[in-house]
Amino acid sequence: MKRGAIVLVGIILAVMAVKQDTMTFARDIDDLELMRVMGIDWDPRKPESLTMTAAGGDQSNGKEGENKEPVILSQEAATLAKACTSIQSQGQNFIFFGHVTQCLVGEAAAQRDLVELLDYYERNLELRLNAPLYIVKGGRAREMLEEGSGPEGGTVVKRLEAIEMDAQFESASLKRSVKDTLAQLTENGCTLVPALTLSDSSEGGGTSDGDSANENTGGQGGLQSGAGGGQSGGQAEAQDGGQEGGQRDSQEDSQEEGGGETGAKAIQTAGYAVFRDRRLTGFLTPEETRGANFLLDEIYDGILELDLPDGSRVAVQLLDSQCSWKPRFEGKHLTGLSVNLVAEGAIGEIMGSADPMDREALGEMEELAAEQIWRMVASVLKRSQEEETDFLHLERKIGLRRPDCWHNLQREWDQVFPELDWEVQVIMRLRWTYDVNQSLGGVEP
Amino acid sequence: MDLSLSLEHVEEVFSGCADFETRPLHVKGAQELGTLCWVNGMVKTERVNDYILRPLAQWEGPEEGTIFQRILEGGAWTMTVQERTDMDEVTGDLVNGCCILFLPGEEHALSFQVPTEEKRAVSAPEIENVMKGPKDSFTESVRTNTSLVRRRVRTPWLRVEEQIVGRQSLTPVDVIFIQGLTDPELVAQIQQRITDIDIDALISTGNLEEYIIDNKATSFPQVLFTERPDRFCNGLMDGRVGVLIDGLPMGCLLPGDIALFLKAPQDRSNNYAISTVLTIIRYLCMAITLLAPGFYVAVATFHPEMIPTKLALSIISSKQDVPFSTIFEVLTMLVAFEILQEAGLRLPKTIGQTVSIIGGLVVGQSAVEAKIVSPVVVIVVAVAGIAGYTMPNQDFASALRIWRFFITAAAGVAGLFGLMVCAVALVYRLAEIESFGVAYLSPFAPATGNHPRGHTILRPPLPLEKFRDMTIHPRNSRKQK
Repeated sequence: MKRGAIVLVGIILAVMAVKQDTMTFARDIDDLELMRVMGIDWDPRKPESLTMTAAGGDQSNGKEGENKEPVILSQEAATLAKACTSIQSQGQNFIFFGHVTQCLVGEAAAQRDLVELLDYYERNLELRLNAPLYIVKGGRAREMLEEGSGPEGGTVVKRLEAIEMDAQFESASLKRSVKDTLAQLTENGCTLVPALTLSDSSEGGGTSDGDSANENTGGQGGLQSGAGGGQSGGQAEAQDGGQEGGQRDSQEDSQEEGGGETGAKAIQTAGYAVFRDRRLTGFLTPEETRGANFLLDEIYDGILELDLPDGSRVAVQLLDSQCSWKPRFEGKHLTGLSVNLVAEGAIGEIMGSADPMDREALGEMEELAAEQIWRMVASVLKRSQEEETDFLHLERKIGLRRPDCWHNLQREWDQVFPELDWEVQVIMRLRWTYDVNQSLGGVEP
Repeated sequence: MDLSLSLEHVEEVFSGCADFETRPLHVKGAQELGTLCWVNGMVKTERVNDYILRPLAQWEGPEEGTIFQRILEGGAWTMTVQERTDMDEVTGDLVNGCCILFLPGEEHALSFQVPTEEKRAVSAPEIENVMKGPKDSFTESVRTNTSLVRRRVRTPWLRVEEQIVGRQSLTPVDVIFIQGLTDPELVAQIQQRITDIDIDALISTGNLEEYIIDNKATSFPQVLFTERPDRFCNGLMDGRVGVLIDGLPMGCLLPGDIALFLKAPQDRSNNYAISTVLTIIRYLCMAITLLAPGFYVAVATFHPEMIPTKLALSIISSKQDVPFSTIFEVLTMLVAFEILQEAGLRLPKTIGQTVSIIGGLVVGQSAVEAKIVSPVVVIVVAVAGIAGYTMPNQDFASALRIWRFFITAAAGVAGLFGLMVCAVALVYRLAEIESFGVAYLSPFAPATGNHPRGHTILRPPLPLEKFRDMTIHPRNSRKQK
């Protein structure tokens, strides 16, 4: 009896193995069309629907060399779930989202509740929560996927993968996954999300790095800061460069700039998008972006360009940066914050007569670099206070340092934070000069 | 036999046998001729001439007592002369290479042991080859085999107890153990099971193995057959019982557990670190050969999100235009692999290798080009097959091959869930098996709670391996100071 039962079960399993259509969730891998990027857009003129755009690579259906055009499909629906289901009717094969490794959200869509927008991401088993998330500055995700995938520039998938891998080398943008974003938004509604922009490839638009200290970005108005401007709290160890925090960008201007141009479009990093109460409120300037990276210990590489008094220009390569926070309390009440930042670098290039072997000159370079970093850091702290947006999650950092004051901190944070007196100290150490012009032993070459 | 002992009855028993011969024999001092009987081909002619015929004809010893007595006490020059009193003994001796002498007036017969030595010489092992280690192997002669064992284990406590198995074949079966080391209960159990075998002939290993093992409904071997005397003796020294069968060039070690089947003969010859690494690789290969095809079917059919994107694209690309489903491809290739392997065994050596290589290359290449199967499936099945060849024991490897089919089918039904269910079922099945009271999964699952000793995966340097594995209950746990 037992043996018969075993044999019967074995036969059933064997039949089912061959007859695959009995298993609805079994699908041969060659029946799949792999989507690599998902874009989410929302049009304020049609508030009831969302647009989901999915893009595959140039090999989404595996046919190498046969189909250079990447597959891009778009579907409008009231919910993302409906859009992802309805889009199945558009593909030649089963549209599979399990390999979506990048998520783009249009600027307009980001002005909605991002947590609500990405709810489908959380619940769906196929979509990867560790996929990097980007906000499309001044445009829609669909346009970025369609126009950023010109054959000369390679596919949008490859470009986004390159950005994911290489952006850190310019310290222009750190990785922020869907999971990280949702976690931070759930915590206090504030976060930073890397932004991308679509620009004419000949202009090389978007953010630039390194020489961002004195550079203005595109002068586009639009999204206003949440709190009043002016300088808040404190203060200067070095001179404030007089930069106003936050040059805001507008969606309309970006669209005007980006739309209607012929020729290849390039996807560029565009700093960080700022979120408050789970909604997009603006974008950091390049200087603020760098400052945020310093404060978040996300410096892996990058260049600081220094103009020395003798007319030389020095490029300092950033190697590492460590930021420590020291809150100041009176009793259990937070009164101030000290930020100590120690950065390490090496001399990458000298244009001029500056001599890095001269201790005094080296010290001057370190001071100038420290000043530049101070300005970046100060600008982003000021921006955060002005907009009353704790996107650096200082409340949590301070709470971890002083758990005994945590409850007080939670109660008083909204009042304390905009008026918080902060003090930033930056030390720059130039470790290597790579100066090989001088021979050993002081013998002239 | 019910017949009384006499020459006539012997001739009656062997009537019609072309190899049965008799001749009259003159014994000096006797009034009448005796009759010498033998089976041609079983006796060595020169020995009969020199050790029986000549001395008996030229007897110059004392002449007290009967001729029968005189011959029994040294008249012939053979090492063994025995008095036989019944037909069973006489007929048994005749087929075992003895000459039987009937003397007129005597009720009993004399048996002289003059067997031929026409047997295969001790040669190098064919299956269990090692680079560093002895190069001799068992032969078909049980006595030669026991001599090979005794040359390695010279202790007088080495016991060789013989039984005859098979009503027609009358095959000698020797049970070998070391008294004072091997568990006497184990020895008794094995001897009893051999005694209980009531068959016509013991010709192949299965005639012994399938009659004495505990669990007959499993494909996994429960006794270890080896052609290497050194491995056999290592097993005896570990406290196991060995069985040698006349006519089979293999020794059998009992009880068998999974760790025994995954140890190679040269593990103790290699450096301990190398031996450890190779053992780990062997265990990994066991997992690979079992799970690789099923894992591929599961991820390609049910869990494509697990595959790295570039690999997924590569697989999709290679599977384009293949008309069959993944599960069908994999099962077909597994069956083809088994067919190739079986065909390779049957072919003569001179052409077998060539045909196997060409068949594999041509068939595999053609099948891929014709889009019958995808290259990825060929690779997966080849990797699984090659991993299976790392198993030191062919019987164990064969059992793994069978379960590979089950696991692949289960993966095709229910993905990774089905694969894991089948793998758990396999472990459950193995855990159910016992070999002479020893759990098959020893020492990973000791039933008694004893901590295993000796090496299983990680082999320490031999000077540090001071204790025996207690799962087989040897009487002496320590093997060195």
